[in-house]
Amino acid sequence: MSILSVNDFSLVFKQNKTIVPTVDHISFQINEGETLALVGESGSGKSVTALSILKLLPPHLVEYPSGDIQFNGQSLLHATDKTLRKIRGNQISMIFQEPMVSLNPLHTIEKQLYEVLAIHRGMRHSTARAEIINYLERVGIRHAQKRLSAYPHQLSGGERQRVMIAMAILTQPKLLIADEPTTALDASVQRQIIDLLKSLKHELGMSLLFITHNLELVKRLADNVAVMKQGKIVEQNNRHRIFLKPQHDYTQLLLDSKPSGDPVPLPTDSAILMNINHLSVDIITKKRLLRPHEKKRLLDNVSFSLHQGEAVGVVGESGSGKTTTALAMTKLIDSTGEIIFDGCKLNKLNAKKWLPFRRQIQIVFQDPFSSLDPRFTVEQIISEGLLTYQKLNHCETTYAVTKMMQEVGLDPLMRHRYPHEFSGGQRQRIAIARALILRPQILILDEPTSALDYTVQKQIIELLKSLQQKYQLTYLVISHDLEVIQTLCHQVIIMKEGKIVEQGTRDMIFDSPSHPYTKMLISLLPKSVSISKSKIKTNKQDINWNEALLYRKTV
Amino acid sequence: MTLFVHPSINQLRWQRFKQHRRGYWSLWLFGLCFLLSLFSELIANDKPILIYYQNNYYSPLLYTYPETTFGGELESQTNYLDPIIQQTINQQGWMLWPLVRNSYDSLVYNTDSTFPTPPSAQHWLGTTDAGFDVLANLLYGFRLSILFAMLVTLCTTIIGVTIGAIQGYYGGKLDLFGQRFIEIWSGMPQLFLIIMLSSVIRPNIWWLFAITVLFGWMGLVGVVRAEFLRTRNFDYIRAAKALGVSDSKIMRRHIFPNAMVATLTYLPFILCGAITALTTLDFLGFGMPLETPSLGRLLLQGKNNLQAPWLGISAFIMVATLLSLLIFIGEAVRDVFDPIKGIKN
Repeated sequence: MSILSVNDFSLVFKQNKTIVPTVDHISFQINEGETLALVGESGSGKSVTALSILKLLPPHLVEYPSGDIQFNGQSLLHATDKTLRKIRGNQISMIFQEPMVSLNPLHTIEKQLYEVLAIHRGMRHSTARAEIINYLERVGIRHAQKRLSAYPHQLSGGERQRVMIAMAILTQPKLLIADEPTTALDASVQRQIIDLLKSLKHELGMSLLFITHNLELVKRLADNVAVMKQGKIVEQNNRHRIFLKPQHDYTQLLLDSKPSGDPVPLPTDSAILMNINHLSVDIITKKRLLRPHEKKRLLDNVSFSLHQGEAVGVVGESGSGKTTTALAMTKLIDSTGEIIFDGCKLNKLNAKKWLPFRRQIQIVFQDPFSSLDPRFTVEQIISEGLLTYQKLNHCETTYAVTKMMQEVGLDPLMRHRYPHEFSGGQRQRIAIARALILRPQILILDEPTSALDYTVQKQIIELLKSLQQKYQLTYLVISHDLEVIQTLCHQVIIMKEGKIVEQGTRDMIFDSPSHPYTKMLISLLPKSVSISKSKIKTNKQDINWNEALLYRKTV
Repeated sequence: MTLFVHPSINQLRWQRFKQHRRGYWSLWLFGLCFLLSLFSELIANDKPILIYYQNNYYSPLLYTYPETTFGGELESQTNYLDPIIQQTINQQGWMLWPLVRNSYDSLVYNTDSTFPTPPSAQHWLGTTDAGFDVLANLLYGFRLSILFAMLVTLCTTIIGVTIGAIQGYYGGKLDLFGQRFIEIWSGMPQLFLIIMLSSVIRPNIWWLFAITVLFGWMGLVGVVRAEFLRTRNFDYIRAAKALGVSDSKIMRRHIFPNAMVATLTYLPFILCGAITALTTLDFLGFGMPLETPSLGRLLLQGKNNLQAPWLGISAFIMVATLLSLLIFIGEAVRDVFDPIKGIKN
C-alpha cells in the first residue's frame, strides 16, 4: 500500500499577477519501505514538489490548480495547519541540502535535538539525553557523548549532515524526504552519507523520497526513479529499467552526459610557461599585541610547473587549498614563494607592474551566478577587461565582443541582455568569453562545471577542449570531480590540507596511484570507469547480483 | 523571433513607487511647492513684473530704475508701492503685478494697527512684529531652507559616500582608524561650536552651511561602508580584479550601484535633518542674519507674540507640511527598494 501518493499534482507561482507554471500534472506513489528518487536538472521542479508535500512554500506565492497529495490516505494539500504540524517532523521528516544553514548556529546540537524530542515525543531532559546519544551513534558520530555540547560550526560538513539526519529520524518518521542531501559535501563523504541513509532506511523501515541531480547516487540508493524535466515527469520506472533500458530521450541524454573522452593531444615541443616554487599562504587567525600573530597555513610549499598547451588538474576536497592556489597565482591574495611566468618573477611586483601579466593569466570562477555583475549587460561584462588595456571605440568593442561570443557558442544578438536572463551554462560561457577576450596564455578554471547541470557540464568541457586546441591554451583545472579532470587534463596534482600529496601524469595517477589518499579518491570513481582496470572479484559472496546487473552494461 | 523586452530594474522601481500612493502624491506636491518657490520673485514681490510706460517696456525685476524714469523727483531706486508713482504709471501705461505685492524684506507702512497685524486683504497671513509680510517670508524662507538643505545633502552625500567607500573597500587599518575618528568627531557638540562661533564672527548662511557639512557627513559613512565591505568579496568583484580593472573603477562601476540603494533611501531623511538643523538654529537665534527670510525666526516670533497666533500657526504648518512630505517620500523610496516588501505588493 502506498504511503505517499501524489496524483495529478500541479503548482504555479504567482508573480505580480503573472502566473508561472512550475509543476505540471505529475503523479507518483511511494510504497512502505521504498525509495523513490526524483531526478532532474535545476529548475525542473523537484525541490518545489518536495516542499509542497509538507506545504512549506509561502502560501501567498503559490497556487495549486489541480491534483492532491495524500499521506496515508489523508490529503495534505487541503489539511489545516494544525494537522500539518502534527505530520511535519513527526511522520514526515526532511533533510535539506546545506547542513550549515539548516542548523541553528547559536545552539548546541544537544539542544537542537532535544527540541525535537520535547515537541514530538514529549520527553523530559533526563530521558532525552540517552536517546540523543543513541541516535547520534546510530548516524555514525563518534564519541557522541562528548559532542553533545558542540556547536554546528565545530563539526565538519559530513558530521553536520549526520546530525541533520539524526534530527530527522529522532521521531521515527514513516517518510523521509532528502533534498539533495549530499550535494554540498565532498565525494568521499557523499558516499558515507548515502550508505548511512541506506542502512537507516532498512533499520527503521521508512520510505525515502530522494531528490538529486546525481545519477550515480540514484544507482546506489533508489528502488524507483522518476525523471523530471520542466515540471513534468517524463519517465518513471524501477531503477533497473531506467538505467538499462531508458525510454525517453531526456533520460538517455542524462545517462549519456557523463564527461568522457581523452584530453586534447599535447603539442610536441612545449616549453615551461609558468613555474610555481614553494608557494605558501598564511592567514592570521589571532592577533596578538607585541607578540607574533597566530597564523594558519592555508597553502604549504606548493611547487609545480605548467607547460604551454598543457592542462593541469588540481584535485582535492574542500579546504585543501585548491582555490587558494589559484588566487595566489593571480595575486588576488598575498603569498610567499616564487611565481615565475615566462622567465619573469612575478610575486615581488607591485600592482601596476602586474597589470601586463594579468592579461596573460586569466581565471574563470566556479559559480557563474555570482561571478557576473547583475547590473551589467553581457557586452559590458565581456568588454570590461579589454577596455582596461586598450582604447577602443564603440564599433570596435562590439566587433570584438560579437566575435568572442560566437567563439564560445553564444548568440551575439543576446549581447544587450543581463546575466539573469541566461541559464547556468550560458553564464559560464559568458565568463569564459570575458577571460578569453584578453587572449591569455594561461586560463585558470576554478571548478568550471561544479555549479552546472549534468548535461551542460559535458558541453562546457567540450567547449574548453576545442578552445584549448585552437589557441594552444594552458589550463589549470581545479576540481573535486575526478571525471572532469580525467577527460581534460594531462597532469594531475592531488592536494590535501594545503600540501601536494602526489603529482604526476594522468595515466600515472589514475592507473597506479601511490599515495593512500589518492588511492582512496580513485576508488570513489564510478565503477564504469574503474572496473575495467581492476580485477573482477573472485569471492562469490561479495558479489551483489542485483547491483552487478546494473553495472554490467557499462563494462 | 519575438523580442521580449525586460523592463529594467529602475523602471520596475518607478512602477512600484507610483503604486505607493502617499509617497507618489507627496513627491508631486513637494515638487510643485519647490517649483513655485523657485519663482518666488514672480509671486511675491514689491516690484511689478513688467511695466509699460510712455511706449517703453520696463522690467524692474531685472534692472533698477531711478524714480526719475517714471516722473519722480529722487535719483534713488523707485518705490513702486508709492501711490504717486503707481498713479503716474497707470495714467501713461500699465503695470503687471505679482500675486502678492510684498517681498520678504519690504516694510509695510500703511497699516491700521500696530505690528504684528492680523491677516487682512493686503496681507493674507498678517505681518510680523517687525512689519514684514508673513506670506512672503514663508515663501522665501521655504525656498532658502530647501536650497540650503539640498546643498548640504549633496555635499554630505558626496563626502560620506567617498569616505565610506574607501573605508569599506580597503578595510584593515584605514577602516579601523577611520571609524575611530568618526566616533570622536561625532562626539563633538555641534550646537555649542556654532554658539561659540557666533560670538566671534557674525554667522551667515555659508558659515552655517560649512558647519552643518563638517559635522553632517558621518550619516552615510556607516551604510556605504557596510555595503562595500559586503560586496568587495563577491565573485564578480574578484573577477574584475583578475581582469586588471583598477580599484577606483571597480568601486565606481561595480560596487557603488549596490550602495546606491541605501544612499537613495537615506536622502529624503538627510534633507529633512538639514532643514530641521537650519530651522533650529534660527529659532534659537544663532542662525542667519536678520535680513534673510527664515522659517525658524518666524517660529521664534510666534513664540514671542502669543497674542498673534497667525505667526506661529502659519510657520508651524509650513514646517510640518514640508517635513511630513519629505518623510512620506522617504518611506516610499525605502519600501520601493525593499525587496521583501516589494514582493508582497
